[in-house]
Amino acid sequence: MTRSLLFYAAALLFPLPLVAILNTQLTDAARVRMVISLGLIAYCWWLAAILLSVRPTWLDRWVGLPQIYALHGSLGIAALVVAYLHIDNNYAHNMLARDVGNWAFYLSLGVAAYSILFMSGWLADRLLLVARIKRGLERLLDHRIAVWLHRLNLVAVALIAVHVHLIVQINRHLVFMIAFDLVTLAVLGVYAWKKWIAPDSFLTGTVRENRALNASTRQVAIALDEPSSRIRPGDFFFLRFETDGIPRERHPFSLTGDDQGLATFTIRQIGDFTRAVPQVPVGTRSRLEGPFGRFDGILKETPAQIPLVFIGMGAGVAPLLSLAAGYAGDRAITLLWSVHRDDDAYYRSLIEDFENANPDRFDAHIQVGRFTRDRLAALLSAEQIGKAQFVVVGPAQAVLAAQRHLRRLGVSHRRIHHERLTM
Amino acid sequence: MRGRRKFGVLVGVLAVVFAVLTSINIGQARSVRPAERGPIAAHSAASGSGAPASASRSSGTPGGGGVLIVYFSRSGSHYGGRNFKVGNTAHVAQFIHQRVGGDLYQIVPAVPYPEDYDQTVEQARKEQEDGVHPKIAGEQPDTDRYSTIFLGYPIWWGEQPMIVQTFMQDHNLNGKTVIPFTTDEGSGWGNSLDVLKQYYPQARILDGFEKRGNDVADDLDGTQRQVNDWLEGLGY
Repeated sequence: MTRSLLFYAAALLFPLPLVAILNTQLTDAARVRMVISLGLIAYCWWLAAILLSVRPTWLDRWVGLPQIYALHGSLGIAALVVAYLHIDNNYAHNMLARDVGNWAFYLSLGVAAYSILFMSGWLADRLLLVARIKRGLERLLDHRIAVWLHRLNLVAVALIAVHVHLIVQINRHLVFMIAFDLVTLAVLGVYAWKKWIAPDSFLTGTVRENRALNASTRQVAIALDEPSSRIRPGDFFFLRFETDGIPRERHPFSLTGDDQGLATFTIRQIGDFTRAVPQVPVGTRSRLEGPFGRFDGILKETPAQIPLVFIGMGAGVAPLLSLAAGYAGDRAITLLWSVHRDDDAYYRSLIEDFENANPDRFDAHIQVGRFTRDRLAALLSAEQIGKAQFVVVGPAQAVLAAQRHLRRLGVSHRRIHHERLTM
Repeated sequence: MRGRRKFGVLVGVLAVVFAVLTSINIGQARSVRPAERGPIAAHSAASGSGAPASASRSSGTPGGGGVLIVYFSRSGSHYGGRNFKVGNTAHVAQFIHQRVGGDLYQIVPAVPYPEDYDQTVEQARKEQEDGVHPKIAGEQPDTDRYSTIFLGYPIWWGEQPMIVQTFMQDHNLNGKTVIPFTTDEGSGWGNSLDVLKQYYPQARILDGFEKRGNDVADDLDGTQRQVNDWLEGLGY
């Protein structure tokens, strides 16, 4: 909680240095300075959103990638609101400055509307109609186009920088302009470093195995060139295969095991990237951005006597098996796995192995169809409902439903940790 | 090694862009010359008694004594592609005059501003940056005769147009009651109240009237009611 507050506070206060410099330089009336500052705050929040988009792993370990993405999106929306107030209460004599600023605003507005629908799960995870529209449109626009459209925000930021340089009342203040340019170039430099230079230092490996678990799911094992001690149970990577026939963008997948030298992924084939995975031959070079994930950190902070309950839906069981591999034997674990059809329970024997190895401390239930509240009430003990830490992973709507059921059974939201497979 | 080379290229590109931007910034900062502010004349610089005659029905004004309504207003093409036969500030000046009476004086530049709005904006910017005070056409009123001056202007580049500042430079209104009114397009008063105080630190400046220019044109009756309410609040 404290971490989240600090994280949000840091992002909200990100504009403060530039706003302070501007206000010490401007001699305008307070109202004028306030309206100009609104524009600067919006700009800085867009810059902060760009910084968050590089998803630094250290920040992920601190607050988690879902929080980073949530703040990234929230800052983008908040910046739009503040920018609107700036536009509505200001008057630019310079027509070009005004037009360039307006282009940036409307471009950001369009990208935000598009991103809320396609890039985030804010609406699609909660509204069935929106989810259907999204799925329909995704057949026309593949993920790569969605990502490039989202990057139009960079064009909007560049337009705003030009807008500021065109405003005579602002560009006459040299100290501010130097600070403004420094901050802008620093942020764009970090972004360029992330996209262009950082991939050279990502983990690399070779596909050792690529096999079908059933008709729609595959298991891909990548032997890392060097084992990584940073890999923790329940982590995930952004994966890219260096071969033709599959999109080159990196996509996130959870580890299924806890081996620090062999990264194993369970990949359900539902998108343009994942449908091309069967074409990836053994021996393909791979690049792995990460590891990301907070499950291990949370469980480490949990006292040993507290029971753990893992609830997985479909391929969401993958990180839970990774956690099971890391914690079975040391902790009392209950694994609940719901699958769509019986042949989707492709890890049944692996789970039975966990049960046989830890008969007193590992308990698993596999069922066809989602867990209802009544079913969860029957499967969970009073101790688990009152004390256990819950980890829930699966498709977004299933996770939200499971969270709802658990809360209604009396599980505090602070004890429910989740990962929604939206991205 | 490859990463180090890429890093060097990135830092180099950023440094070059920063250097270019900084040189542009320095050039822009140097091109600006702050205007000096304050009335030149020790007394009201009336160049004659040319205050236009107008009906006077004021009685018991807050400032006492005579009332002069001075304004500058531009007609023709305006912000947002609109065209006005009577400027927005002129409308407000008329409403004040109808309520308060006194004398009405319009500031008219010796060399008219361009018909084209964008050209006017550009000229206004240059005037302000260079501290140019354009000449006023005709005779100006003797402000010594008045204790209360209503001063009306649009907001150009965040403050009074320089033609209005010419009037302010020519007339020392320190010690008088000055009541500003303005029309703008979203900037509010801008810095104009601060500018007013810089010119007349000893004047008694009362709460003014401010409204968006296009809103004035779109609702003249409503504007007049607002002007009357404001004046009533001032005691007129």
